[in-house]
Amino acid sequence: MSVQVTSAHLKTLRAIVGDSHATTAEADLLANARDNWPQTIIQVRAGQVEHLPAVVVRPGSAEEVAKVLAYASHRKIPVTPYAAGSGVCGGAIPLQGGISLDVKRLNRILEIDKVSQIVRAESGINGEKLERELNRAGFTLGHFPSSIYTSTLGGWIVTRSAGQMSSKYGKIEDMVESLEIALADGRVVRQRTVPARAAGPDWRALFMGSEGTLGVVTSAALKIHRFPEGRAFASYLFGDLHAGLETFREILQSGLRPAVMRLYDELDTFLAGSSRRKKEGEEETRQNPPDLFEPLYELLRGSVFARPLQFLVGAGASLLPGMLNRVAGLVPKQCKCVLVFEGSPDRCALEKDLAHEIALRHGARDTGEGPAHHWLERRYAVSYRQQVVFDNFAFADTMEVAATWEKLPRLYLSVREALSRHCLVMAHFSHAYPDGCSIYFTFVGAGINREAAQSIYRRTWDEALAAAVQAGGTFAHHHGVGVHKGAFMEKEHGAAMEFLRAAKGVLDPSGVLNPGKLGLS
Amino acid sequence: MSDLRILDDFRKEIEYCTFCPKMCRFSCPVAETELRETVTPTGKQTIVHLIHKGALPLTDESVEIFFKCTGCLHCQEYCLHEIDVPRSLEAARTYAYREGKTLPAVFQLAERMRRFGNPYGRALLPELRKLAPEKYFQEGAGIVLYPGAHLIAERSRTLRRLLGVLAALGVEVFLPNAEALSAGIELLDAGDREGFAGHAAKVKKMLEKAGEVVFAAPQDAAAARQRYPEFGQALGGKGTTLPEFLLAHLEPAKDRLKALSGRKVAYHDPCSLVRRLDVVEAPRKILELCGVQIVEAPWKGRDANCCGAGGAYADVFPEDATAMARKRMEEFGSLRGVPLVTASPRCECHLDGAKADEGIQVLDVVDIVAESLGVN
Amino acid sequence: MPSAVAAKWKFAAPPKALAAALAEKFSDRPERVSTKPVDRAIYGRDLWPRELLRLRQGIPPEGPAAIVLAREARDVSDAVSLARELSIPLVPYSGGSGVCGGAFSVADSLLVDLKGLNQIRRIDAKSGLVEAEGGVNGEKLERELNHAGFTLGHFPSSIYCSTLGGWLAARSAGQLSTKYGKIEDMVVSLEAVLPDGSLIRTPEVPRSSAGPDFKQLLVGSEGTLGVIIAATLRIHRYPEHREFFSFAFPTWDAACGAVREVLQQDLKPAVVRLYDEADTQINAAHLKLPIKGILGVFVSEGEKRLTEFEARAVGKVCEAAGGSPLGEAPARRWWDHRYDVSYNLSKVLPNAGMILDTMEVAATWKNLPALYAGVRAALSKGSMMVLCHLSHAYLTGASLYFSVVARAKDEASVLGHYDGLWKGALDAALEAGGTVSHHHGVGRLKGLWMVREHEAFQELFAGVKERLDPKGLFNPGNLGLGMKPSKPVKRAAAKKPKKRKA
Repeated sequence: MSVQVTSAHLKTLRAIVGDSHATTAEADLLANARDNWPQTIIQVRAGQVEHLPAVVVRPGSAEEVAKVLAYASHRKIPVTPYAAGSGVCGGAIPLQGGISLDVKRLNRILEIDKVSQIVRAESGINGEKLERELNRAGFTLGHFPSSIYTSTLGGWIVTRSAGQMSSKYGKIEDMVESLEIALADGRVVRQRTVPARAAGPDWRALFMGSEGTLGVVTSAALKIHRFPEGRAFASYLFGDLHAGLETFREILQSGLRPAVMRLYDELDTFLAGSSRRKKEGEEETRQNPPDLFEPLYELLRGSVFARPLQFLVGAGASLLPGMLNRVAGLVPKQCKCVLVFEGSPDRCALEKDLAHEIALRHGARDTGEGPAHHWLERRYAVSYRQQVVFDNFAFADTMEVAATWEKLPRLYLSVREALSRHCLVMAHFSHAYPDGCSIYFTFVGAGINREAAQSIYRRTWDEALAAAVQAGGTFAHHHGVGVHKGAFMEKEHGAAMEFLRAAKGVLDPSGVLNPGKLGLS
Repeated sequence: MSDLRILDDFRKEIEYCTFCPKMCRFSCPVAETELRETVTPTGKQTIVHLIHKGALPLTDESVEIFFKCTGCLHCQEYCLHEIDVPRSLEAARTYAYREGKTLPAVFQLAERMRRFGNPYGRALLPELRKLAPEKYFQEGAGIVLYPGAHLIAERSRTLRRLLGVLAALGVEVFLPNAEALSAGIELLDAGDREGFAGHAAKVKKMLEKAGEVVFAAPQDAAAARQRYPEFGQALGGKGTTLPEFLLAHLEPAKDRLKALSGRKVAYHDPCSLVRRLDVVEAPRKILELCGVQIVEAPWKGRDANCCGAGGAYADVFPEDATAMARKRMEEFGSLRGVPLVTASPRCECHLDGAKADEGIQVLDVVDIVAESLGVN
Repeated sequence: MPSAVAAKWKFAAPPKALAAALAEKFSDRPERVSTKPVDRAIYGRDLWPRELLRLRQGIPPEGPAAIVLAREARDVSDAVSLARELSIPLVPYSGGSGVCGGAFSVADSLLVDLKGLNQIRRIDAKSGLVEAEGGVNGEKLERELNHAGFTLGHFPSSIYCSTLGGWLAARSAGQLSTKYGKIEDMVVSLEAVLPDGSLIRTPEVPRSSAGPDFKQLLVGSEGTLGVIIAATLRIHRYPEHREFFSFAFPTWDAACGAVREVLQQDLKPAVVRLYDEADTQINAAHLKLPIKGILGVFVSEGEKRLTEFEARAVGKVCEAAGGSPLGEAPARRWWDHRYDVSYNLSKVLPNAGMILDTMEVAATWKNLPALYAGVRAALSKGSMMVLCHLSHAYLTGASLYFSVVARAKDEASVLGHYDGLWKGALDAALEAGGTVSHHHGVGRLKGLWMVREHEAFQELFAGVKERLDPKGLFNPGNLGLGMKPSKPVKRAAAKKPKKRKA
């Protein structure tokens, strides 16, 4: 159903954004054809590009965005908004071709209101650049997704992103005070910025998480915090996950808000190297222990497990995960926990003391500040090593689910069980709330050839997503939905999807805005 | 005189409630049982207001609203203006009664009171006389124990135990000897003000010579102490409640009480006792002297929820009154093996009649004392 | 002065089709339906003072024609399907404690009283959640939670008379919101009946990124998009410790600056209240204390050491802002009398010519001085007394609560006088860059200004509404739906983005 983009269309689009900002050059089309969804990575590895936009349009202002949308809506040309293309669910893939609307030129900080502590910035601004500018002014947004170097404010908002310090600062939806949106009818509409109100439904909530299906977020006003005066660090080892999770729950329910709270399961703990005995005199914070994916890479490619792995691949991939998970089951029974506190020095000290008492009550072994410092220094490292895993018809991916504390054990067991059928699995818990917690699964799988890998990949996901919903959790905590998880929207939301369909009908009558996403057909 | 002017005296109360943001609504047992806006204290007073102003006529439906009150006075606990909603509604009932437009069940209640001096519609004096030897009925200047209609008619075993307990404690009491065995609040509840005046005079006469009067029923004590004076029938400072009286005699004799240790009882505060007479601690202290552990409801003391026994509500709306009692019982959690104890024979009769589970035992504080003292 | 003698109120029999349909649909539970005049006389309005003024004038309510006393979700669904079949308006009602006419019954409407849906279904002590039905009374819910060792942390001064469903439908705030948030911050999941009759239950998860958070469209919708049946909310351990403290600040600006500093230092005392000069003098009289300037009362609560730390830190900020400590007494007195304000209506409203109302607006810290000055000036025209306090503070701004007492020249001009006061004040709030409602909601009172506040987003609202409720049966006339703004709003606060550099 995709409409051919003609030279007449191109001419009009160029008239809106300027000649150089509407391009059909192959390199540009390829660049905007995919995001970081591992499935597309598998495909790209094989030299396949399934969905190519017809044109990449790079508007320079909210008004230009609106004009492009209006024109596309009028001509029924699909528009897929694109910024950093860092999403991992295929949300930025132009499924029906058409326009890839790249908003990275909308990258200005419009205002830092130091009195109200509100920043207003355009949606295409890079996360790290925004944070650095705020830091220069003495503030922080408090939003640190591990993708911060490569993701944008707009992307965060439309996928409801979470940062590593979400326990203290909240997710992006807790930070947004108001939005400016370009609509398909050609208007740019902006919400009034007020701290709270009781004047009808909260329309911010409709656009946050809408992934470009209802309009394009062009700028947003967000809460900012004073740059923290101090930090405190703590790390522990727990005998099992349960003790660690109970510690988290107790910490949060007693009113403490550490900025960082991370707990790793046994395999994740083992692979992250924290259980390795420190050599005499070795300065723990100075070493260069393996990051998250490196050992997995090792596992799959060579060293320790190389031979049995080759044998297993040969024997049929279905035997592989069971075996690996069993081997993984032999790692020491200990779970690493990292806490970082932010704020005034005396507040940090108090929070750390209180958290320490709680941890010890749950049988924790104090491992000092080192591991927490080390984590903070290398907190974005995880994003770098993913690509290497995609050789040898293997894949690695991450899945972030969440549930209330009461349902968390069930969520953990059932998603883990579903993933383990096909993959080697480990998990950590990195976004905890007074009422529940998210679980971040990392899983690695392989097939005997590309088709098999892709099919195992899909099956793994479908079974794990179904398990998450079944267990009463959400199937996505902060990566969004995209095309990847669209089929599960109806399962999680049921008839409440009517709200989305109604809004879609009002805002996008021609159905051109990011078609095929969020389970909207 | 039968006109709306009786409501003029309550204009402030009626208007304050009509224009109040319903701050007491959650304490009203009727509002919380029926969950209907019209029967919140604000709703009821608004209906009275609209009738007072001539906007609404007096119909069966509007008269019914005047009876949507157990007189529990819980609402006053949450009223900054300390408005007595039951009194306003009583005035409205009086108006309806005088107009001859009150409800059939209410006319019958008033009729029973007029004929027999109690709400049971039968002579209770013969029953009382059967329960106690002749010496209890001598007229004199001693202490008169006024048992009230419910104790005689439905809880005779408790009454016998009470007499036994008092005898064991060496306290000499006498019993009333005339067919006016309820203090008559039922007549005010019905709206028969004139009937109440006559009844009060009768009771006063009967108790005139008594040195002291001990009321076993809190509603009788409240009526005698708080309403009789209004009709020129004050008992002259006489009239104590049974829990206070018992406690005074048990404390010196506490060594004789056998501790019922390991026993739990749930205690329900009778509305008249806590809110009209401010007796909150005495029954609890008695239970503590008996060595039992008290299970409290989340709503207790002056904040206790009504069980539905009060006013003419149970006469007019028996099903709702039953639902109210059950709701009250549910507040205590499981009552299996935990007797529900109270200090009002009327509450006991009502709770006992309403219990959903035959396993629930409803007792009087007196029953616990009797056991502890070894009186059967 | 006694109120006017009313004319006889007439209640026409409900339309035959409605009566027949009700009799049929509720044939197995006829006691859950009422068409009695006594009920219709009571249910037609909420606590919108304008409606109380009309009651004073003896004006009968417009509706409803019939009332469904719902006891279970099925009663609501049946009422909804009946309303659709007959195309009659449906008005959800529970505490009827709203002050903006959000639960106002139009003529020939079917009202659904949700108070019978009052079960506390579950306390999940592990996750710190309570699931309760929308009709549960606020105080009852809180007491049950206290009994189990928890608190919801939501204490609107209407807590005695309002319900959970009403709080959610109108985006209520409690007196401890600075620590615990507004009701929309507490709700985790909602169960609701939509206009098409379907029952939805949003996921009960701590956070999600699975598409938009649809429950936030129902929250604040005041019955126009659905009827809230039940909700799951976060609860907190009952605080083990409280600290009460008070300060006198030299000026309103200094006091607001102190509160801003407190919030921006990431301190969140449960109670933060500043009284302007006029309000301070009234408080001083109650306290029998000579207080100059601006009274500020604070309460911190929670874990003992955190609370003590917080109280100390807040105290330091207040002193640095020129505040002189007044000790515990003013804060404790406030605590002991925290719901008293609601009782004032009774004293004023029965009297002919008198008007009493309250108005709660909010703006960012930057816009707050203009909001205070603008609204105060507007309300001062045509009133006897205007008081203001700041009682809900955020990192980025605060709300201001104005109380106004006025006397119209005679009873006949009361409604016009009332409308004029509101018009001036709401215009001023919008002009200062604020919102027209911080926690009372919109109802019928602020509909026109809702349109002006939200502009294009109100069109979106109308569009979504039209698709979900094509006949417009859910609480018609509410939230400015169907209203057109009379003039564009002057936006003093909103600045255009700077021109892009070439």
